[in-house]
Amino acid sequence: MLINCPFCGLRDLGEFSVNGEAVARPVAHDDFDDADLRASFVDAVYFRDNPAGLHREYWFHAAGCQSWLLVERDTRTHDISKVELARSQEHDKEMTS
Amino acid sequence: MSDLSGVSERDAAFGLTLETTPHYYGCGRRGRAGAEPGVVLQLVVGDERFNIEARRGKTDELFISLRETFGRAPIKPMRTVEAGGFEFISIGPSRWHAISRGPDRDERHALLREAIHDLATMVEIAHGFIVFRLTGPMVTEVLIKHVRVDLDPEVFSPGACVTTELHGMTVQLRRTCDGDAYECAVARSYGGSLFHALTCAADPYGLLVLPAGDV
Amino acid sequence: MTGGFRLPESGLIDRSRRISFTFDGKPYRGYAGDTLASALLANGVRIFGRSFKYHRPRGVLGSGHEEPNALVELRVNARREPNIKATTVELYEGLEARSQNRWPSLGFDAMALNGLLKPIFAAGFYYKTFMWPAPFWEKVYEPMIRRAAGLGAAGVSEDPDSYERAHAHCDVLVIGGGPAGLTAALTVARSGAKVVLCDEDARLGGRLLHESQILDGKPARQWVDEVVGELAAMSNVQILTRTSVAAVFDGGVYAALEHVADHLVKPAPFMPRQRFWRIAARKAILASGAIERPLVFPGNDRPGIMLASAVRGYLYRFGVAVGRAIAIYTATDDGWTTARELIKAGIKPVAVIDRRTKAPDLFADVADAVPVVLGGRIIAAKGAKGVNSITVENASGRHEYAVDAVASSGGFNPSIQLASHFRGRPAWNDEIQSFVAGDSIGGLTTAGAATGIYALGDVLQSGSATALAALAALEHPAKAIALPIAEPEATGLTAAWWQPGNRDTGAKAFVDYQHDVTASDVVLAHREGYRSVEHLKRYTTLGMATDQGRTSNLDALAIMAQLTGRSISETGVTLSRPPVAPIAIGAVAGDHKREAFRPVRETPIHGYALERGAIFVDVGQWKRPQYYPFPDDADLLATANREVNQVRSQVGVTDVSTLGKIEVEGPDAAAFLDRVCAMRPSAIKIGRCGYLIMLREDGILLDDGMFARFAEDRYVAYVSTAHAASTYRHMQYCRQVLWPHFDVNLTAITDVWVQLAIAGPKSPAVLQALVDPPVEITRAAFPPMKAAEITVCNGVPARLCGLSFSGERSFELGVPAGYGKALIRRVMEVGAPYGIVTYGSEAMGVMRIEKGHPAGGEVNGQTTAYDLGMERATAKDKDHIGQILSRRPALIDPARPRLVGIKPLAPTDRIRGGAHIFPKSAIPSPETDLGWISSSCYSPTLSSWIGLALVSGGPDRIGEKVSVYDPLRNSEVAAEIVPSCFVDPKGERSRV
Repeated sequence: MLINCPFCGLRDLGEFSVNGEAVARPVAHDDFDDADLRASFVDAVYFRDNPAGLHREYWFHAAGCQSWLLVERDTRTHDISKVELARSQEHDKEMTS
Repeated sequence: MSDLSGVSERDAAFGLTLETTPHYYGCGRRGRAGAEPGVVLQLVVGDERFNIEARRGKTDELFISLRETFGRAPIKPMRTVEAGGFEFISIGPSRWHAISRGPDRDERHALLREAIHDLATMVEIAHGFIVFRLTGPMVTEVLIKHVRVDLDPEVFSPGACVTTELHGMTVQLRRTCDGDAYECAVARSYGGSLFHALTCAADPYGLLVLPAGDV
Repeated sequence: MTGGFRLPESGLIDRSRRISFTFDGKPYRGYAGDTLASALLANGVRIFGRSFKYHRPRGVLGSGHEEPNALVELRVNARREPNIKATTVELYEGLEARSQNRWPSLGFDAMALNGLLKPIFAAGFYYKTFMWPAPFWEKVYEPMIRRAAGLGAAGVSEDPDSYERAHAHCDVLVIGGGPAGLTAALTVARSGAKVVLCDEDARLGGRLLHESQILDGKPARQWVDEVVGELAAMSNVQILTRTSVAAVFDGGVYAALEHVADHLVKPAPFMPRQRFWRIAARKAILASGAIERPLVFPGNDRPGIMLASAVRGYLYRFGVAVGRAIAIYTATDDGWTTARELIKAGIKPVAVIDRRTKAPDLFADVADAVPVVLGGRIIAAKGAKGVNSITVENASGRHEYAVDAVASSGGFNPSIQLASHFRGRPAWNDEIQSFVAGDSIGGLTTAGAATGIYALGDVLQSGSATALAALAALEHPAKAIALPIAEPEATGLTAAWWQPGNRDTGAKAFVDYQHDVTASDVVLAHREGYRSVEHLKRYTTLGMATDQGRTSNLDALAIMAQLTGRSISETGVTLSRPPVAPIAIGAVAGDHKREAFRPVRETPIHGYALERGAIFVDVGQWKRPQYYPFPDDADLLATANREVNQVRSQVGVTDVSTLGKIEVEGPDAAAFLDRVCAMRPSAIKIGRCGYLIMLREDGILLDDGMFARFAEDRYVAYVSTAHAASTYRHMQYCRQVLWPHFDVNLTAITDVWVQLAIAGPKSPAVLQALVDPPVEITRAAFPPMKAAEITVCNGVPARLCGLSFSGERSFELGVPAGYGKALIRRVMEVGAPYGIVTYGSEAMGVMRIEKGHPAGGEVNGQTTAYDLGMERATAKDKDHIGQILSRRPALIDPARPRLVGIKPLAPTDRIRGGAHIFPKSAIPSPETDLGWISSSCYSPTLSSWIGLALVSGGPDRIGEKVSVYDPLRNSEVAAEIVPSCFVDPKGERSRV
């Protein structure tokens, strides 16, 4: 399998490590023992949708540019529809110029 | 032994000797016998290398500053830009290595620091790498045994640079701007394994390992 | 009957180069250009091996990778390789081959009695016959089956040959160098796009090498030579012959195996035996052709009964007639073409038996020349060591023919294995009575005969058109190439499957030759309910042999379809999986073997440690000096004790370069680290060190280590060796994904610095001799936990931290890695007056256990900061990774296994890591289990074995007498739970 790293181009799967579904970290407020807050973290850490279809996940280009990537992959076909840097795109200019 | 002027200058000043020939590094002809070696390998010593990473949101300003100081800015991913005695190689989003060799290092570094001032993190990392320089007619045949990126000379043109996997190691492979040589850099601790992988791959073509030197 | 012989003149063999070889020890001769199969056939050899289960004599069926029967062992000693298809072996001088599955000889095989035991060995026999009595399975049945049913035996010594990997990239990969592959490759090549053309044969041409077609009025072979010549001269074309494309992976990545030296006795110096290619292709064209399927009839496995196309191939390519009295048994027009070729070669067939009631058009010349039986069917084939007669039945009655070979033609199956690796469901095609590839998937498209198009003109056109479509999809401009004109070709056929229900039970009608699956086995599977194709396959082992069912699958499916009253399309088909052709494990491993199996990491002082005779230990990829034995040290323990004693009484130096080092720099460094770490890095003063604790978001410890803060906006994190890579990745995740707004950069500098720990009461004196003025190493000027960037040894930049892992006054000194060897030499020089020793990871481990510092056994992915007594160092009032979930009651339950020390009551009683702890006099059981020993060692300081343990409610049990039970060694030791710090609990020694 190949992943089209926005910086490095098409690279072999072996250069990347996956971090699973792209889940947002809940926003904590001051009461760290609040039940709802804890529930939201439990949800984020333990519960995964595991869809048969489009899946957004984080990959790290460990043997390349060391970027964390947001990858959209179809779990049924491994087709990757989108890859972007997880860090917001202040580098757009750099890429295209 | 080549003249390690840059290194020996420092050696004289410092009370410790720089290690230039690691224990695994064996020089001479190896592999298939023949008149001309297909590949020549040399450990590069005396490189200076800085890791430069732009501060958040300062990439553009950094480009402008580098351009003002050196006349050019390293804007293209995975390419080398030669400027002010440095080779700037782009290795990641807003990340570069600046490599330089030869005399006048202090002046050069001062200029670089000045250009960068508070626009980037700059860390000296030369000691973290082992660099092998490969030349000879069969170099690409050797590299395609290990490297999964396309090394077609038209695709991997002079000045190209990639960070990629090689025999389980992360290496930085680049083609010099004159196009004559390839340089393969790896984290220092992997030097022995990379030497082994490259020399074994080169043996079928006849290999000459030169004494370590500043090329 | 005498079998095959060599014809004068014809064939693509080089008659000027004779080649000697042996089969089962007997010498034979062939020609350059022969395969082992063609050479043996030319020598009249008919029996090539014995079958898998029944040990029936078997000959050659086909002429390529589809061959199920003619498996041989090739070469001798370490190069011996079993299960090689004789049809794919290029003949070379000195070739040694042996038949398989025969004992004591090929002609007489004692195991042939298995044939009489057919009822036992029928489908599902593994599951039924050998069920009872149960103990018999391991001791009797399995060894017996393995002896009886094994294929050949591999060599037992290490493979002396080398293998390598290589990587190629192209716009279009063309798989197969037959007529379609050649026009496809030529179309791509002339467009200027990059093309890689692979063919498993030693020469390109595919079926055109095996047949006598005419192109543009010239022999097709001539056209092949022209095209190959043109392709070979182009710089954008890479031709890989002797190369099987074995698998396809997501994203257009193909695995191919190049048989570099398999046609030689042994590889030349520096020549790999095989090369494993990884080819990244933007588009691929599968022009792998089609394989003929045999007709299924009683006795159809007798030697001499072959595929008609193979008979023609041996004739035309190798100049070999497979027999003198050949009958054609066909359901296709193609069978008639074989008859015509035989007539042309002067070997008039005994008869053409066509399953159809009407002779095909265009073959009047054949019908005039040989007897034709229309609507005919072979109902019996006889001959113990090769077919010698067949019985044919049609509307007009029965005829018996004396024959020495039968050319059987049941139709052609497109070779679409690669397409179905890629989730491509084959689609049924009525016209050719076979499956073709479904829609193009992942850039792989079939062309030529692989699509079910068989007439040569159409095949040539298909290759070119497919290439044009691929180039159009790549938006690469291209022009159609001029194609040669082919003569018209008849490709008609009828469905002619084995039919259940008449007198033929199918017991001797073989479907899968290699696994000895008969038509009756399919009937049995149906009767017992194994009707899905997947069940059928597993119950009968159909198509699971090394030929992957190329000649067998469809016949079995057709029988099942009839039994279930469904169409073949409804019955479905199993998908094939990689590899298409067998791949030696050595080729997959390539040069990843022995010391290069995986890369190793060496510290900057590795060369020095080698000189000092250090013994190394693997820690992940690292080679760490474990101990530095003196000649008179009895063993590891003696060395470690000596090293520990010397450090605790004088001074020692050890290499801690393997610890991960990450430089954290930027205006938001402190704020960022406060979010990442469970303690408060922002509270570490500039020029000081601080403890580092990172949690996972679930509240479990990720890693611990130390920080040195060298400036307001610059820290260096020193993290554990084992977790260095994952900690760096995690920190990058925090920076790039979770909190990208922080202005902070992370630079991995593990390899940039050599790091030496210099420990012991005399360490300040040693340090003082190293540092440049005006730095002073005194209690006041350089207290523990101080961090400074200084120079040492006359100007070498250095980072010095007052850190202690051993409990002694200790320093960690870093200099640029290239000075590492010189630095440790200097340390040893200036330390000599103080009795300095080098110590290894073993002594370091002992001292850290003596001090109760958690390491790998404790930070094990299950423990929390609370468990390891670090909770006081964590901040409770800020939002960091793991804060919320680490507060869950279950993670701060005092009854959790928590860190304590453990000490045997008798100091000489050894306690070991992994042993479990039980209340004194309790019977060891899961219910009474209190915890386990996570680390243990002999402490020379205490003259006792000691350990760290994770014990339920541990710190509340200090002073409790317990039992340490080691179920592996069945030992029990009386011990006491003690505080985790054994030596100098007040930390006075580290502050001298």
